[in-house]
Amino acid sequence: MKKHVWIALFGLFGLLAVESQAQTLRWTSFEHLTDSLRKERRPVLVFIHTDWCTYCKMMELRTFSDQQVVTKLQEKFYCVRLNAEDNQPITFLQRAYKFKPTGVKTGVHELAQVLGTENGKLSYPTTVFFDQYLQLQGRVVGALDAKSLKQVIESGIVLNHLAPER
Amino acid sequence: MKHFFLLLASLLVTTIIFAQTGSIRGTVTVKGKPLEFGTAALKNTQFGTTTDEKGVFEIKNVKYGSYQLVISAIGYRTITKAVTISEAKFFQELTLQTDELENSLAEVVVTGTMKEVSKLDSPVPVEIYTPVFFKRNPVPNLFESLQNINGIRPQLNCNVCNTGDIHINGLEGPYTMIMIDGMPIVSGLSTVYGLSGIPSALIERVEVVKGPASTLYGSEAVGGLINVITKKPSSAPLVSADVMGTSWAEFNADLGLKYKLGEKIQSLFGLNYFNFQRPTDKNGDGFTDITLQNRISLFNKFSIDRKDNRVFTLGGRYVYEDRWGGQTQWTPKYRGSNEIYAESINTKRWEVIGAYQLPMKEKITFQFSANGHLQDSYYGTTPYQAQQYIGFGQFTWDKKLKERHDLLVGTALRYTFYDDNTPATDADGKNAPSKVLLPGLFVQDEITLTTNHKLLLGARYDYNSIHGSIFTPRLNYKWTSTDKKNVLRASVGNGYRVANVFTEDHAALTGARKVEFTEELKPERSWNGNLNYVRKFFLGNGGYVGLDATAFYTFFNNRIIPDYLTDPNKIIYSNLSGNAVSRGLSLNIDVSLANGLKFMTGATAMDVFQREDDGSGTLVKQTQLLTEKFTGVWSVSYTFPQIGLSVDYTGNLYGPMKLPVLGPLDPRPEYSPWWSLQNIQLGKKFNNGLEIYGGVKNLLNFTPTPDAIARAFDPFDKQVTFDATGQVVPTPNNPYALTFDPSYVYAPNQGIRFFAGIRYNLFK
Repeated sequence: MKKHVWIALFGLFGLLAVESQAQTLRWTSFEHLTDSLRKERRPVLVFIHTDWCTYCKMMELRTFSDQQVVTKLQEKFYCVRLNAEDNQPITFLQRAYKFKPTGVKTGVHELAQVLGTENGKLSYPTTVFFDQYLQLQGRVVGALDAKSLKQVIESGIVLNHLAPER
Repeated sequence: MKHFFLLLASLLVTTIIFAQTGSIRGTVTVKGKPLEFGTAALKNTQFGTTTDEKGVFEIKNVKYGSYQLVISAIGYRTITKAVTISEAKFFQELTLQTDELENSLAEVVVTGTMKEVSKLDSPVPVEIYTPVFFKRNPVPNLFESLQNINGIRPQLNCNVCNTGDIHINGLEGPYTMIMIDGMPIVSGLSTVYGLSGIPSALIERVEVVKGPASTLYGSEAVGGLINVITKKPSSAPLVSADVMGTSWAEFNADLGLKYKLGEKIQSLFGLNYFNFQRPTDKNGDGFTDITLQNRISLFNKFSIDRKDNRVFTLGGRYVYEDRWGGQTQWTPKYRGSNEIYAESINTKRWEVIGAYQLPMKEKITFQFSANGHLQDSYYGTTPYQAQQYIGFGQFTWDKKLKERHDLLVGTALRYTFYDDNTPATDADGKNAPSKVLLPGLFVQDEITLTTNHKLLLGARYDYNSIHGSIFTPRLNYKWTSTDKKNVLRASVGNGYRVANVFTEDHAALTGARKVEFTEELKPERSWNGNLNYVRKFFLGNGGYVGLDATAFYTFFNNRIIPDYLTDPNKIIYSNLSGNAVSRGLSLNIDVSLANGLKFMTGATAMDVFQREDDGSGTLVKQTQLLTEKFTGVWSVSYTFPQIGLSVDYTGNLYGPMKLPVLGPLDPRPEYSPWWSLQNIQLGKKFNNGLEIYGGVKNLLNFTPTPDAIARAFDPFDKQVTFDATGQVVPTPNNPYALTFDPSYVYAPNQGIRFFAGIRYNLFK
C-alpha cells in the first residue's frame, strides 16, 4: 500500500517537473564589468542574492527568464549577479572586497554590503541600478516581477543623459 | 514651435556666456594609482563627468563662479572641494586622493539626474525567512516557535514541571544537534536551552536538517540538526526590543543590540527575560496548570575581522531559570518536604562556542564548545542535584581535490563530566562521577558527480572510554534538476548514543514512581534512512508554491525506553530485547500568492513502536507511549499593504497518543483524544520601526482532562493502602487503586488567553 502511495507521489511530481525551459540571461562578472564599460557605456544592474533565499530564486527563474526582460537587458544593460554569501574576494575599482565570515559557512560579502545596504540593512533579494557612469540610481529591495522590471528599464531612469559625454 | 524658441533662446545664452566660462581638470588617485570610473560633478548643477583610465576628468564650459566639486566612486568616501572659476582662474588643475573606504554607497551628487527607484512597489516581499515565520505565533523562545515547523515537535515531558524536549520525526531531543552559526553546542543535557536567549530580531534564519546530516557532528546527530543563523552586522538592527504579555500574566521581553568593539570586532547581544508568577488552577485539581517560571538568558557573539577573511567567532550564553509547579499553596519553605507537593527546578547554565581558522594556507578550522549545566531540584521529596561539564574541540581540514571532490578530514575530542546524587553516579556506595573521554576521527568526501548529482560519503570512528569503539558510516545523495526546481535527497546513516536517563528523562525524577534499572544500560544503536523531495513552482503572476515530502525510517538494535506499564509504581529501564522502529511520512506545502496571501501546511504520519521479546522468543509489537501517529500544522497569513495590517491564523492538530495508565482499574482513557491548538494574531507596522501585535492563543480553549494527574489531592500517597507485595489495594477512598502520578501528559494545561505586544527595530 505504502509503495503505491510513493509511486503515485513521485509520478505526480514527475509530471509537474515537465515545464518549458525559458531563455536565461547572460550575466557579467565584476572582473569583466570595467572592460565592458570601456568598450561601451551602459547602465548596470546588480542582482544581490543568496543560495537560501526563495524569492531570489523566484526572480532568477521568473523575472530574469522572461523573454522580453532578457532581450531588453541583453541589449541595453550589463547585468551582474552577486551572491552575498560567496567567499571569493572581488576586486572592483581597485578596492578588494572580501567575504566576512560570521560563523562556520556563514557570513556576508563586503561588496554586497557596500552596494545593497538600504536604510542600514541588507535584505535579499536587492536589485541595484547604476547609470552608465556607475552612479547609483536606486535600489529595489524585495522581489521584482518581470512587469515592474520592464517598467524600470523602459522608463529610462537609469540612463543618465545629463553628464556630458566624453 | 514653442520648443523651437526655447532651444534658440538657450543657444543664445550659451553663446553670450561662452566667453565667461572655464574648465576644471583633475586626477583622482587611490594610493597613488589612478582611479577609473570615478564621478566628478559640481554640486547643484548639471555639470558632471567621469574619470578615464588615467584617473583624469575635465569639466568644461563652466560658468564663472564658486562651486563645490564632488568626487565620488563606488567603495570610496566622497571628496568635496571648493573651487572657484573666474577670469583670473579660468582653469583649475587638481589632484585628489580618495583612499578612504566607504561601507555604503556615496550620496547622489549630480542634481536632477537621480530618480528614486527604490520606492517602487515590490510585488513580493523580501525574504526574511524565519523571523517572519516564527512571529506568526509569538512565543517566549525559539524552542516553542519550532512547533510551527512540520515534523519538529517540542514535547512536554512533565505535567508538573513542564520541561520539554524537541522531537524531530519522532526521535527525541538528544538525537538533535543544535548549532549557532554552524558552531555546535555539544551538550547531552537539555538541548532545549540551546534555543533560548537569542531574540528573533537577531535571527536571520533557522536551518533544519531532518535525518542524518553529516559525520561532522558526531554519531548522535541522527535525528537532525537545527542551525540558528544570526544576522550579519549588515542586516541586524542596531537596537531591537520586543515586549509581550498575556492575559495569564505571562511576561516576555527580548532585547537585541548590535555594537562594535574597536574597528575589528562586531558583536551581537541578546537578552531574553520570561516571567510567570501567578499560580493558576483552572481545572481544579489543586495543582498549578502551568509551571511558574522566572528565566533570564543572555547571549553574546563576537565576529572578529581577520586578514585574508578567515573565520574567528566566539559566542557565549548564560541561562538562569527558576521554575516550580505543584500544589498551588506551595511556597519555597516546603521545598523537599512531604507536606505540600511541588517540583522545583533551579538551573544555571553557561556555554561558550567558537570557531577559528588557523593562519595557514590550508583551510583548517578549530571549533570548540564548552558548557556547564547545574541543576538543583526537588521533585516532591526526591532531590536531584546534577552537574555536567562538557569540553569539546575539533579540527577540520577542508580540501578541494580536482574540482569534483570536496574532502573534509577531522579529529574531535570530547570530555564529559557528570555527577548527580542518584545511583547513576554511584559505585559501591561511594559517589563516582562519570567521566567520559570521546576522541574521534572522521572523513567525508562530497563528490560532485555531475552538475545535477552529488554524493556525500562519510565515516566516523569514535572511541568511548567506557563503551569502546564506535564506527558510524553515513551516505547522502542529492539530485538537483537542471532548472533547480526539483531536489531529491536520500540519506542513510548509523547512529550511536549513550542514554542518560536522568538528564534526558524528567519522568524518571517525578517522585511518584520508583526508578528501577534491571541491568547495565548499553548504548543505543540505530540505522536511519531518509528520503526527501523538494519541488518549487514559481507562478506566472509572482506566486510561489513549495512542496517538501519526506519519508523516514529508523531501526534500533537497542533502545532505552522507559517502561511505565509493567508496574504502575515504577519506571523500569532496561536494554531492549528485540528492536524498535520509528517510521513515517511527512508532507509540507508552502504557498505564497502575488496578492500577499501566504499559506503553509504540513502533516506527518508516523509509527513508532518496539518489538519486544515476550519471554518465549516471540517478538510482540508495542506502540511507543506518549507519541502520536499524526500531527498537522498550518498557518495562513495575509497583509493589507495599504494599512500595514497583517493577520495570522496558526494551528496544530495532534492525533491520539498512547498514555501511561495506572493498572487495569484506571478510569482515564488509554489514548488521548484528537486535539488542536489554534491562534489568531493581528499586527500593525509603523514607518518608524514600531510594530504592535496582539491576538488570541488556544482559540478553541482546549485543555486536557482535569484528572490527568492521578490522585492530585494526595501527592504523597498518604491515604493509599499497599498490600504485602507493594501493589495498591482498592479502598473506598481509592476505588481505582491509583497512586499519585503526573506522567499522563499530552497537552499543555493552558486554555484560551489573550496576548499583546510591541516590537521596535532601529536600523542604522
